[in-house]
This record gives sequence, structure tokens and C-alpha cells, in this order.
Amino acid sequence: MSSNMIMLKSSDGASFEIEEAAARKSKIIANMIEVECVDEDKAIPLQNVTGNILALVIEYCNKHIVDDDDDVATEEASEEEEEAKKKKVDDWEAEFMNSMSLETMFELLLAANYLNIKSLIDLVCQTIANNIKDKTPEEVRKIFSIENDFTPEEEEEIRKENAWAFG
Amino acid sequence: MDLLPESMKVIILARLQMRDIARIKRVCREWKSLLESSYFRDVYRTLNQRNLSSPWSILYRDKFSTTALEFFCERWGFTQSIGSCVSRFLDEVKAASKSSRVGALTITDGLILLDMSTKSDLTHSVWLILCLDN
Repeated sequence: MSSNMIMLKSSDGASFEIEEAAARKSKIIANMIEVECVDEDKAIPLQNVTGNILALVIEYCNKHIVDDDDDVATEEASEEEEEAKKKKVDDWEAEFMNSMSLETMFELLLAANYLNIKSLIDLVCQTIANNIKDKTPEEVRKIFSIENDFTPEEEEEIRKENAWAFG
Repeated sequence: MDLLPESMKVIILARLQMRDIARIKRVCREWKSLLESSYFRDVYRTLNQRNLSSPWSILYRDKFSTTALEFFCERWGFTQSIGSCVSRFLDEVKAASKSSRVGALTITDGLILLDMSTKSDLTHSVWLILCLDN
């Protein structure tokens, strides 16, 4: 396995060393590597990502690069083993997201979008969506600090139109 | 949430099920207009891999026969939100059958189960609406 290391630099000047294989989880960085924009001695500046968020992105990429390697090594693994492994990843992801505030999730989503890491975009979106699932509009407003800008009449009208969904 | 551009909000909200989507239109104007936009519908369809020719299909079963009917967007004026389409559909069913009660029993991802009971003999019909779109 290639152990090429590359350097990433956050918008607030923090530098991180990361294995090339892990960094390639980001399509943007993978493209930069393909077209040889990456100078070995120079860090790649990521202007839209702060250090604390970049640390989370790198934690995610490192975790998932290990998993991908496992996949190759145990191609003939039994279904049970596959399932156990998937559960391990799911548990890790749940734990990873669980430690985060909503604000951090939003920033992580923006970073994942900027760096084009699809599996991380999916994970963060699903976690935020789970915060909305089965909640009343009042609860959703509270969770996301959203102001209700409907008049009571308008709100009643929308409630009626969608009342079939609550029966 | 204000931190996120609209496109990001849409890819979050499109992961919800229809029951949630119908309910959270009440959150604020911005969410309502996002959830009713054609952009949202496209993203929802892509994420949920729904790629069928007709946006709606309705399966109807009564005690005499099993009929599958398809209602196309022309009939339902699919420029409107699903909520108003279903409301209109229920009103039409009520008017046509003079049934005492018709309502949604349950909703799951892409499916609405309607129950209709008639005044005369208290028989129940179950309608299954397959929603292939937002």
C-alpha cells in the first residue's frame, strides 16, 4: 500500500498530514493529485474549511480508508462477516455523529460538499434528517431556531391541506 | 440551518418520508416553497430512485373486482402539491360514493393506504395510492 503523505492546510492556518489514500476520498483532492497540482513539500490550502472541521473530515476519511482496505483483503468473507463489518462501520458513524452539535454538522456538511466526499455528505444529511423525522413543526422550529413567519390563518390552511398525512 | 445554501437544505429534506414532508411544510415560508419546488421533486426522485413514467398510480380493490387505475398528471393537475392532490382525490371519492368515511390509514415511503367505509352496508374498501413522486 502506498504510504504517500500529503499536507492539507485549513482556512485558519492549521496543517494536517494525511495519507494520500485517505485524502483521495475527496474527489477534489483526488483530481488535484491526478493533474499533479500537489507539490510534495507544500500543503494544499483549503480556504473554506476551518481546522476543527478539517480534523473531523480527516478522522472520517482515515476510518473509511481502513474499511476499504479490509474489503479488498477479505473479498471472500462470509455474509456474516460482511454484516458484522458493516455494523461496525455503522456503529462508528453513529458514534462519530453523536458527538456533534447541529452547528458542527452544518459546517461538516459544507466542508464535505466543498471537498466532494459523497459518503460523508450522505451520512451528515441523513443524521440531520433524522432530527426532523416524526417531529411536529413546532419542535422542528425549536431544534433549528427557525421563526414561524406564517400568519395563523395561513398555517391553518397548510395544516388542513396536509391533514390527510396525519390521520 | 441558515448557514446552509438552499441546495443543501433540499438534499437534507429529500431524505424524509412523505408524511414528514407534508407536516413540515408548516415550519416556515422558506421550507414550504423549497418542499413544493420542482427542484425538490427532482432531487427527491433521484435520491429515492423513482423513475417511472406516470407520477401517480392508483390501485383500487372492491368486493367484486380488482381494478388497477392509473391517473395521470393531466387529471390531477400535478403542478400542485401532493397534499392538495390527495385532498382533492378524497373529496372526489366522497362525492362519488357518498361513503360515510374515507381517510388515510397509513403512509409509508411512497405509499398511501386509504380506507373507505360505506354507510349502507358498512363494508370497507381499501385503496392503495402509489405516489411515485413528491
